[in-house]
Amino acid sequence: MMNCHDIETHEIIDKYLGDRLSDQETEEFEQHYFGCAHCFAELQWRHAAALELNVNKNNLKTLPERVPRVWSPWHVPLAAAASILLAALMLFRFYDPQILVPPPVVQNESPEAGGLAGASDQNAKLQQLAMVEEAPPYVPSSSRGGEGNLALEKFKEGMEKYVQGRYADAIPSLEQSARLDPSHLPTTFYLGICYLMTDKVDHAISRLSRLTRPDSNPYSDESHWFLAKAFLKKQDLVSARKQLNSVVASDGPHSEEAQQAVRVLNEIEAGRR
Amino acid sequence: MDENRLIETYRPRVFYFLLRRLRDRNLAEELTQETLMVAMQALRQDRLREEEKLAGYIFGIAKNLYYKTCRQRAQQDKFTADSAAGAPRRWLMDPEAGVLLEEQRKQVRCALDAMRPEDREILRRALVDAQPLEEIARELGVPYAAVRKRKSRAVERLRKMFLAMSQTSL
Repeated sequence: MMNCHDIETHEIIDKYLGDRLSDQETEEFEQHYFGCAHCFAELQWRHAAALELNVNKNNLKTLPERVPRVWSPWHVPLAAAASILLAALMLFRFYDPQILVPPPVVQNESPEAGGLAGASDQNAKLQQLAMVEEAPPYVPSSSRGGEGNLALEKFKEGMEKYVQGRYADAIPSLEQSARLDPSHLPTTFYLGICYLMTDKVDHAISRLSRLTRPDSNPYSDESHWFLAKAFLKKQDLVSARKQLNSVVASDGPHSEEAQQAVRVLNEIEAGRR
Repeated sequence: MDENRLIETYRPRVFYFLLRRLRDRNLAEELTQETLMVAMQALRQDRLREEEKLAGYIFGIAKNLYYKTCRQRAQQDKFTADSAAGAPRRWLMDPEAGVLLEEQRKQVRCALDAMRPEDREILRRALVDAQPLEEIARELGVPYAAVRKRKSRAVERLRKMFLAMSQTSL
Protein backbone atom coordinates (compact mmCIF):
# COMPACT_ATOMS: atom_id res chain seq x y z
CA MET A 1 0.00 0.00 0.00
CA MET A 2 1.31 3.48 -0.87
CA ASN A 3 2.37 5.95 1.73
CA CYS A 4 3.04 9.69 1.51
CA HIS A 5 6.77 9.18 1.17
CA ASP A 6 6.36 6.78 -1.77
CA ILE A 7 3.97 9.21 -3.38
CA GLU A 8 6.43 12.06 -3.17
CA THR A 9 9.50 10.05 -4.12
CA HIS A 10 7.94 8.44 -7.17
CA GLU A 11 6.03 11.58 -8.26
CA ILE A 12 2.82 9.61 -8.10
CA ILE A 13 0.57 12.68 -8.16
CA ASP A 14 2.01 14.02 -11.41
CA LYS A 15 1.76 10.55 -12.95
CA TYR A 16 -1.83 10.19 -11.75
CA LEU A 17 -2.76 13.52 -13.28
CA GLY A 18 -1.01 12.56 -16.49
CA ASP A 19 -2.77 9.13 -16.61
CA ARG A 20 0.61 7.42 -16.45
CA LEU A 21 -0.10 5.00 -13.60
CA SER A 22 -1.16 1.41 -13.99
CA ASP A 23 -4.72 0.53 -12.97
CA GLN A 24 -3.47 -0.97 -9.75
CA GLU A 25 -1.29 2.02 -8.91
CA THR A 26 -4.18 4.35 -9.73
CA GLU A 27 -6.49 2.54 -7.37
CA GLU A 28 -3.86 2.40 -4.63
CA PHE A 29 -3.27 6.13 -4.89
CA GLU A 30 -7.01 6.86 -4.91
CA GLN A 31 -7.48 4.74 -1.81
CA HIS A 32 -4.60 6.60 -0.20
CA TYR A 33 -5.95 10.10 -0.81
CA PHE A 34 -9.34 9.10 0.52
CA GLY A 35 -7.60 8.75 3.84
CA CYS A 36 -4.92 11.44 3.55
CA ALA A 37 -5.84 15.13 3.71
CA HIS A 38 -2.29 16.17 2.91
CA CYS A 39 -2.03 14.17 -0.33
CA PHE A 40 -5.52 15.17 -1.42
CA ALA A 41 -4.68 18.86 -0.94
CA GLU A 42 -1.43 18.31 -2.82
CA LEU A 43 -3.34 16.62 -5.64
CA GLN A 44 -5.79 19.51 -5.89
CA TRP A 45 -3.29 22.32 -5.99
CA ARG A 46 -1.03 20.52 -8.45
CA HIS A 47 -3.99 19.92 -10.70
CA ALA A 48 -5.04 23.57 -10.36
CA ALA A 49 -1.48 24.69 -11.15
CA ALA A 50 -1.36 22.54 -14.27
CA LEU A 51 -4.67 23.99 -15.46
CA GLU A 52 -3.44 27.55 -14.92
CA LEU A 53 -0.07 26.87 -16.55
CA ASN A 54 -1.84 25.45 -19.58
CA VAL A 55 -4.00 28.56 -19.89
CA ASN A 56 -0.84 30.62 -20.28
CA LYS A 57 0.85 28.09 -22.54
CA ASN A 58 0.95 30.31 -25.60
CA ASN A 59 1.44 33.55 -23.78
CA LEU A 60 4.46 35.12 -25.38
CA LYS A 61 5.53 36.62 -22.08
CA THR A 62 6.76 33.15 -21.15
CA LEU A 63 9.86 31.69 -22.71
CA PRO A 64 9.94 30.60 -26.35
CA GLU A 65 10.89 27.01 -27.18
CA ARG A 66 14.64 27.53 -27.14
CA VAL A 67 16.03 29.67 -24.42
CA PRO A 68 19.45 31.29 -24.79
CA ARG A 69 21.93 30.33 -22.14
CA VAL A 70 21.12 32.93 -19.55
CA TRP A 71 22.34 30.88 -16.65
CA SER A 72 26.01 31.01 -17.59
CA PRO A 73 28.04 32.07 -14.53
CA TRP A 74 29.69 34.94 -16.47
CA HIS A 75 26.49 36.63 -17.45
CA VAL A 76 25.62 37.93 -14.02
CA PRO A 77 28.84 39.89 -13.40
CA LEU A 78 28.85 41.05 -17.04
CA ALA A 79 25.29 42.26 -16.75
CA ALA A 80 26.14 44.06 -13.50
CA ALA A 81 29.13 45.75 -15.13
CA ALA A 82 27.02 46.79 -18.09
CA SER A 83 24.41 48.31 -15.77
CA ILE A 84 27.03 50.34 -13.91
CA LEU A 85 28.49 51.57 -17.18
CA LEU A 86 25.08 52.55 -18.48
CA ALA A 87 24.26 54.43 -15.29
CA ALA A 88 27.57 56.27 -15.54
CA LEU A 89 26.89 57.19 -19.17
CA MET A 90 23.50 58.54 -18.26
CA LEU A 91 24.93 60.68 -15.49
CA PHE A 92 27.65 61.92 -17.77
CA ARG A 93 25.49 62.60 -20.78
CA PHE A 94 22.30 63.91 -19.14
CA TYR A 95 18.92 63.10 -20.61
CA ASP A 96 18.97 62.48 -24.31
CA PRO A 97 15.93 60.84 -25.86
CA GLN A 98 18.07 59.38 -28.62
CA ILE A 99 20.08 57.32 -26.15
CA LEU A 100 17.02 56.14 -24.25
CA VAL A 101 15.15 54.89 -27.31
CA PRO A 102 15.56 51.13 -27.18
CA PRO A 103 16.88 49.36 -30.24
CA PRO A 104 14.13 47.86 -32.39
CA VAL A 105 13.30 44.25 -31.55
CA VAL A 106 14.47 42.13 -34.44
CA GLN A 107 12.17 39.16 -34.87
CA ASN A 108 13.70 36.21 -36.64
CA GLU A 109 11.16 35.07 -39.19
CA SER A 110 13.05 32.00 -40.41
CA PRO A 111 10.98 28.81 -40.03
CA GLU A 112 13.98 26.93 -38.57
CA ALA A 113 14.06 29.29 -35.63
CA GLY A 114 10.27 28.98 -35.25
CA GLY A 115 10.34 32.72 -34.69
CA LEU A 116 8.12 34.70 -32.43
CA ALA A 117 6.43 36.23 -35.50
CA GLY A 118 5.29 32.77 -36.70
CA ALA A 119 3.87 31.81 -33.32
CA SER A 120 2.18 35.19 -33.02
CA ASP A 121 0.56 34.81 -36.45
CA GLN A 122 -0.77 31.36 -35.52
CA ASN A 123 -2.13 32.72 -32.25
CA ALA A 124 -3.87 35.50 -34.14
CA LYS A 125 -5.48 32.96 -36.47
CA LEU A 126 -6.60 30.84 -33.52
CA GLN A 127 -8.03 33.85 -31.74
CA GLN A 128 -9.91 34.79 -34.89
CA LEU A 129 -11.32 31.25 -35.18
CA ALA A 130 -12.26 31.19 -31.51
CA MET A 131 -14.16 34.45 -31.65
CA VAL A 132 -17.90 34.23 -31.18
CA GLU A 133 -19.18 37.06 -33.31
CA GLU A 134 -22.75 36.71 -32.24
CA ALA A 135 -24.44 34.77 -29.48
CA PRO A 136 -27.30 32.58 -30.72
CA PRO A 137 -30.55 34.55 -30.63
CA TYR A 138 -33.28 33.71 -28.19
CA VAL A 139 -36.91 34.00 -29.15
CA PRO A 140 -39.14 33.90 -26.08
CA SER A 141 -41.99 31.48 -26.24
CA SER A 142 -45.31 33.17 -26.80
CA SER A 143 -47.18 30.45 -24.95
CA ARG A 144 -48.66 31.32 -21.61
CA GLY A 145 -48.37 29.24 -18.57
CA GLY A 146 -45.57 28.25 -16.30
CA GLU A 147 -46.62 30.75 -13.66
CA GLY A 148 -45.57 29.47 -10.31
CA ASN A 149 -42.79 27.41 -11.87
CA LEU A 150 -39.79 28.99 -10.20
CA ALA A 151 -37.26 27.36 -12.51
CA LEU A 152 -39.05 28.81 -15.53
CA GLU A 153 -39.35 32.22 -13.89
CA LYS A 154 -35.63 32.27 -13.21
CA PHE A 155 -34.97 31.16 -16.78
CA LYS A 156 -37.07 34.04 -18.15
CA GLU A 157 -35.36 36.45 -15.79
CA GLY A 158 -31.97 35.34 -17.07
CA MET A 159 -33.00 35.45 -20.70
CA GLU A 160 -34.28 39.03 -20.39
CA LYS A 161 -30.70 39.98 -19.64
CA TYR A 162 -29.36 37.62 -22.29
CA VAL A 163 -31.29 39.33 -25.10
CA GLN A 164 -29.83 42.65 -23.96
CA GLY A 165 -26.33 41.20 -24.28
CA ARG A 166 -25.81 41.24 -20.50
CA TYR A 167 -24.39 37.71 -20.39
CA ALA A 168 -22.58 38.02 -17.06
CA ASP A 169 -25.76 39.37 -15.43
CA ALA A 170 -27.82 36.56 -16.90
CA ILE A 171 -25.68 33.83 -15.34
CA PRO A 172 -26.91 33.92 -11.71
CA SER A 173 -30.59 33.60 -12.72
CA LEU A 174 -29.84 30.86 -15.22
CA GLU A 175 -27.72 29.01 -12.66
CA GLN A 176 -30.62 29.11 -10.21
CA SER A 177 -32.97 27.86 -12.90
CA ALA A 178 -30.56 25.03 -13.73
CA ARG A 179 -30.35 23.98 -10.09
CA LEU A 180 -34.14 23.92 -9.83
CA ASP A 181 -34.64 22.06 -13.09
CA PRO A 182 -31.44 20.45 -14.43
CA SER A 183 -33.38 18.77 -17.24
CA HIS A 184 -34.49 22.04 -18.89
CA LEU A 185 -32.38 21.99 -22.05
CA PRO A 186 -32.68 25.67 -23.04
CA THR A 187 -31.31 26.66 -19.63
CA THR A 188 -28.28 24.41 -20.06
CA PHE A 189 -27.68 25.71 -23.57
CA TYR A 190 -28.00 29.43 -22.93
CA LEU A 191 -26.08 29.17 -19.68
CA GLY A 192 -23.28 27.54 -21.64
CA ILE A 193 -23.42 30.37 -24.14
CA CYS A 194 -23.32 33.00 -21.39
CA TYR A 195 -20.22 31.36 -19.96
CA LEU A 196 -18.64 31.29 -23.41
CA MET A 197 -19.43 34.95 -24.02
CA THR A 198 -17.85 35.86 -20.66
CA ASP A 199 -14.76 33.72 -21.31
CA LYS A 200 -15.47 31.19 -18.58
CA VAL A 201 -14.51 28.51 -20.99
CA ASP A 202 -14.42 25.46 -18.74
CA HIS A 203 -17.90 26.26 -17.42
CA ALA A 204 -19.11 26.68 -20.99
CA ILE A 205 -17.68 23.31 -22.00
CA SER A 206 -19.17 21.64 -18.93
CA ARG A 207 -22.66 22.87 -19.87
CA LEU A 208 -22.58 22.50 -23.64
CA SER A 209 -21.08 19.00 -23.47
CA ARG A 210 -24.34 17.79 -21.95
CA LEU A 211 -26.23 18.68 -25.11
CA THR A 212 -24.23 16.96 -27.81
CA ARG A 213 -26.17 13.72 -28.00
CA PRO A 214 -28.35 14.17 -31.05
CA ASP A 215 -31.16 11.92 -29.97
CA SER A 216 -31.80 13.87 -26.83
CA ASN A 217 -32.29 17.47 -27.80
CA PRO A 218 -32.64 20.13 -30.52
CA TYR A 219 -29.50 21.99 -29.34
CA SER A 220 -27.08 19.30 -30.37
CA ASP A 221 -25.82 20.94 -33.59
CA GLU A 222 -25.41 24.37 -32.02
CA SER A 223 -23.70 22.85 -29.02
CA HIS A 224 -21.09 21.15 -31.18
CA TRP A 225 -20.38 24.46 -32.90
CA PHE A 226 -20.01 26.50 -29.73
CA LEU A 227 -18.04 23.72 -28.06
CA ALA A 228 -15.60 23.98 -30.95
CA LYS A 229 -15.32 27.71 -30.22
CA ALA A 230 -14.71 26.98 -26.55
CA PHE A 231 -11.98 24.45 -27.28
CA LEU A 232 -10.36 26.88 -29.69
CA LYS A 233 -10.30 29.47 -26.93
CA LYS A 234 -8.52 26.89 -24.76
CA GLN A 235 -6.21 26.14 -27.70
CA ASP A 236 -7.21 22.50 -27.45
CA LEU A 237 -7.06 21.89 -31.17
CA VAL A 238 -7.69 18.14 -31.00
CA SER A 239 -11.00 18.56 -29.19
CA ALA A 240 -11.93 21.57 -31.33
CA ARG A 241 -11.35 19.58 -34.49
CA LYS A 242 -13.57 16.74 -33.28
CA GLN A 243 -16.41 19.15 -32.59
CA LEU A 244 -15.95 20.84 -35.95
CA ASN A 245 -16.06 17.47 -37.69
CA SER A 246 -19.38 16.79 -35.98
CA VAL A 247 -20.70 20.15 -37.21
CA VAL A 248 -19.57 19.42 -40.77
CA ALA A 249 -21.11 15.96 -40.66
CA SER A 250 -24.44 17.30 -39.41
CA ASP A 251 -24.76 19.53 -42.50
CA GLY A 252 -26.44 22.20 -40.39
CA PRO A 253 -26.31 26.02 -40.52
CA HIS A 254 -22.68 26.19 -39.33
CA SER A 255 -21.43 23.45 -41.62
CA GLU A 256 -19.66 25.73 -44.11
CA GLU A 257 -18.03 27.84 -41.39
CA ALA A 258 -16.88 24.63 -39.72
CA GLN A 259 -15.31 23.38 -42.96
CA GLN A 260 -13.43 26.66 -43.29
CA ALA A 261 -12.30 26.41 -39.67
CA VAL A 262 -10.98 22.89 -40.23
CA ARG A 263 -8.97 24.18 -43.22
CA VAL A 264 -7.45 26.92 -41.07
CA LEU A 265 -6.62 24.38 -38.33
CA ASN A 266 -4.87 22.24 -40.91
CA GLU A 267 -2.80 25.25 -41.98
CA ILE A 268 -1.90 26.06 -38.38
CA GLU A 269 -0.88 22.48 -37.66
CA ALA A 270 1.14 22.27 -40.85
CA GLY A 271 2.89 25.50 -39.86
CA ARG A 272 3.82 24.07 -36.43
CA ARG A 273 5.54 20.98 -37.80
CA MET B 1 -16.94 11.02 13.54
CA ASP B 2 -20.18 12.97 13.18
CA GLU B 3 -22.15 13.17 9.95
CA ASN B 4 -21.30 16.77 9.14
CA ARG B 5 -17.61 16.12 9.45
CA LEU B 6 -17.96 12.99 7.36
CA ILE B 7 -19.57 14.94 4.55
CA GLU B 8 -17.14 17.82 4.80
CA THR B 9 -14.13 15.51 4.74
CA TYR B 10 -15.16 12.94 2.19
CA ARG B 11 -17.49 14.72 -0.19
CA PRO B 12 -14.66 16.49 -2.12
CA ARG B 13 -12.61 13.29 -2.33
CA VAL B 14 -15.49 11.12 -3.47
CA PHE B 15 -16.60 13.70 -6.01
CA TYR B 16 -13.11 14.16 -7.43
CA PHE B 17 -12.65 10.39 -7.73
CA LEU B 18 -15.99 9.87 -9.46
CA LEU B 19 -15.73 12.89 -11.73
CA ARG B 20 -12.34 11.74 -12.96
CA ARG B 21 -13.72 8.32 -13.76
CA LEU B 22 -17.07 9.33 -15.18
CA ARG B 23 -16.39 12.79 -16.73
CA ASP B 24 -20.06 13.49 -16.15
CA ARG B 25 -20.80 16.08 -13.48
CA ASN B 26 -24.45 15.19 -12.91
CA LEU B 27 -23.75 11.49 -12.62
CA ALA B 28 -20.74 12.11 -10.37
CA GLU B 29 -22.91 14.26 -8.07
CA GLU B 30 -25.58 11.60 -7.98
CA LEU B 31 -23.17 8.82 -7.09
CA THR B 32 -21.39 11.01 -4.55
CA GLN B 33 -24.72 11.56 -2.77
CA GLU B 34 -25.41 7.86 -2.85
CA THR B 35 -21.96 7.01 -1.50
CA LEU B 36 -22.27 9.42 1.39
CA MET B 37 -25.78 8.25 2.23
CA VAL B 38 -24.61 4.66 2.50
CA ALA B 39 -21.72 5.77 4.69
CA MET B 40 -23.97 7.85 6.94
CA GLN B 41 -26.36 4.98 7.31
CA ALA B 42 -23.50 2.73 8.44
CA LEU B 43 -22.44 5.45 10.88
CA ARG B 44 -25.96 5.72 12.34
CA GLN B 45 -26.18 1.95 12.72
CA ASP B 46 -22.86 2.04 14.57
CA ARG B 47 -21.24 -0.23 12.01
CA LEU B 48 -18.27 2.11 11.57
CA ARG B 49 -16.61 2.10 14.93
CA GLU B 50 -13.03 2.41 13.80
CA GLU B 51 -12.44 5.79 12.27
CA GLU B 52 -9.21 4.68 10.61
CA LYS B 53 -11.21 2.23 8.49
CA LEU B 54 -13.75 4.85 7.44
CA ALA B 55 -11.76 6.13 4.44
CA GLY B 56 -11.29 2.62 3.07
CA TYR B 57 -14.98 1.85 3.58
CA ILE B 58 -16.14 4.96 1.76
CA PHE B 59 -13.64 4.36 -1.04
CA GLY B 60 -15.04 0.84 -1.41
CA ILE B 61 -18.60 2.15 -1.72
CA ALA B 62 -17.65 4.77 -4.30
CA LYS B 63 -15.63 2.29 -6.31
CA ASN B 64 -18.41 -0.30 -6.32
CA LEU B 65 -20.99 2.27 -7.38
CA TYR B 66 -18.72 3.37 -10.19
CA TYR B 67 -18.27 -0.19 -11.49
CA LYS B 68 -21.98 -0.88 -11.16
CA THR B 69 -22.70 2.24 -13.24
CA CYS B 70 -20.15 1.18 -15.85
CA ARG B 71 -21.83 -2.23 -16.19
CA GLN B 72 -25.25 -0.63 -16.54
CA ARG B 73 -24.04 1.80 -19.12
CA ALA B 74 -22.21 -0.88 -21.06
CA GLN B 75 -25.44 -2.83 -21.25
CA GLN B 76 -27.32 0.22 -22.46
CA ASP B 77 -24.47 0.94 -24.89
CA LYS B 78 -24.37 4.50 -23.67
CA PHE B 79 -20.67 4.98 -23.14
CA THR B 80 -19.75 4.86 -26.80
CA ALA B 81 -22.48 7.35 -27.72
CA ASP B 82 -21.75 9.70 -24.85
CA SER B 83 -18.43 11.01 -25.92
CA ALA B 84 -19.04 13.06 -29.05
CA ALA B 85 -15.34 13.80 -28.98
CA GLY B 86 -14.30 10.12 -29.23
CA ALA B 87 -11.69 9.01 -26.68
CA PRO B 88 -11.96 10.77 -23.28
CA ARG B 89 -9.93 13.97 -22.82
CA ARG B 90 -6.91 13.97 -20.58
CA TRP B 91 -8.16 14.34 -17.04
CA LEU B 92 -5.46 16.88 -16.35
CA MET B 93 -6.98 19.33 -18.84
CA ASP B 94 -10.59 18.23 -18.59
CA PRO B 95 -12.97 21.21 -18.44
CA GLU B 96 -14.93 19.51 -15.66
CA ALA B 97 -11.75 19.53 -13.62
CA GLY B 98 -11.32 23.18 -14.51
CA VAL B 99 -14.73 23.96 -13.07
CA LEU B 100 -14.25 21.76 -10.02
CA LEU B 101 -10.96 23.37 -9.09
CA GLU B 102 -11.96 26.96 -9.76
CA GLU B 103 -11.23 28.17 -6.22
CA GLN B 104 -7.87 26.43 -6.08
CA ARG B 105 -7.01 27.90 -9.47
CA LYS B 106 -7.62 31.42 -8.24
CA GLN B 107 -5.27 30.79 -5.34
CA VAL B 108 -2.60 29.22 -7.48
CA ARG B 109 -2.88 31.98 -10.08
CA CYS B 110 -1.46 34.59 -7.71
CA ALA B 111 1.46 32.32 -6.87
CA LEU B 112 2.18 31.62 -10.53
CA ASP B 113 2.03 35.30 -11.46
CA ALA B 114 4.69 36.02 -8.87
CA MET B 115 6.99 33.36 -10.31
CA ARG B 116 9.76 34.03 -12.77
CA PRO B 117 8.87 33.13 -16.37
CA GLU B 118 11.79 30.67 -16.54
CA ASP B 119 10.49 28.77 -13.52
CA ARG B 120 6.93 28.86 -14.84
CA GLU B 121 8.07 27.37 -18.12
CA ILE B 122 9.92 24.54 -16.37
CA LEU B 123 6.86 23.80 -14.27
CA ARG B 124 4.57 23.93 -17.29
CA ARG B 125 6.68 21.43 -19.18
CA ALA B 126 6.93 19.14 -16.17
CA LEU B 127 3.31 19.31 -14.96
CA VAL B 128 1.35 19.92 -18.16
CA ASP B 129 3.43 18.27 -20.87
CA ALA B 130 4.84 15.61 -18.50
CA GLN B 131 8.23 16.19 -20.05
CA PRO B 132 11.13 14.42 -18.29
CA LEU B 133 13.54 16.81 -16.58
CA GLU B 134 16.44 15.62 -18.74
CA GLU B 135 14.55 16.62 -21.84
CA ILE B 136 13.58 20.00 -20.38
CA ALA B 137 17.21 20.64 -19.51
CA ARG B 138 18.30 19.71 -23.01
CA GLU B 139 15.68 21.82 -24.78
CA LEU B 140 16.18 24.85 -22.61
CA GLY B 141 19.96 24.56 -22.74
CA VAL B 142 20.23 24.42 -18.95
CA PRO B 143 22.08 21.90 -16.75
CA TYR B 144 19.89 19.08 -15.47
CA ALA B 145 20.77 19.81 -11.84
CA ALA B 146 19.64 23.41 -12.25
CA VAL B 147 16.32 22.39 -13.80
CA ARG B 148 15.71 19.85 -11.05
CA LYS B 149 16.49 22.41 -8.36
CA ARG B 150 14.34 25.11 -9.94
CA LYS B 151 11.42 22.77 -10.34
CA SER B 152 11.73 21.62 -6.77
CA ARG B 153 11.88 25.20 -5.46
CA ALA B 154 9.01 26.34 -7.65
CA VAL B 155 6.84 23.47 -6.44
CA GLU B 156 7.73 24.22 -2.83
CA ARG B 157 6.97 27.90 -3.28
CA LEU B 158 3.60 27.11 -4.87
CA ARG B 159 2.77 24.64 -2.14
CA LYS B 160 3.51 27.15 0.63
CA MET B 161 1.62 29.97 -1.05
CA PHE B 162 -1.37 27.78 -1.81
CA LEU B 163 -1.55 26.40 1.72
CA ALA B 164 -1.14 29.89 3.20
CA MET B 165 -3.93 31.25 0.99
CA SER B 166 -6.19 28.29 1.75
CA GLN B 167 -5.82 28.89 5.46
CA THR B 168 -6.46 32.63 5.28
CA SER B 169 -9.58 32.08 3.20
CA LEU B 170 -11.17 29.78 5.83
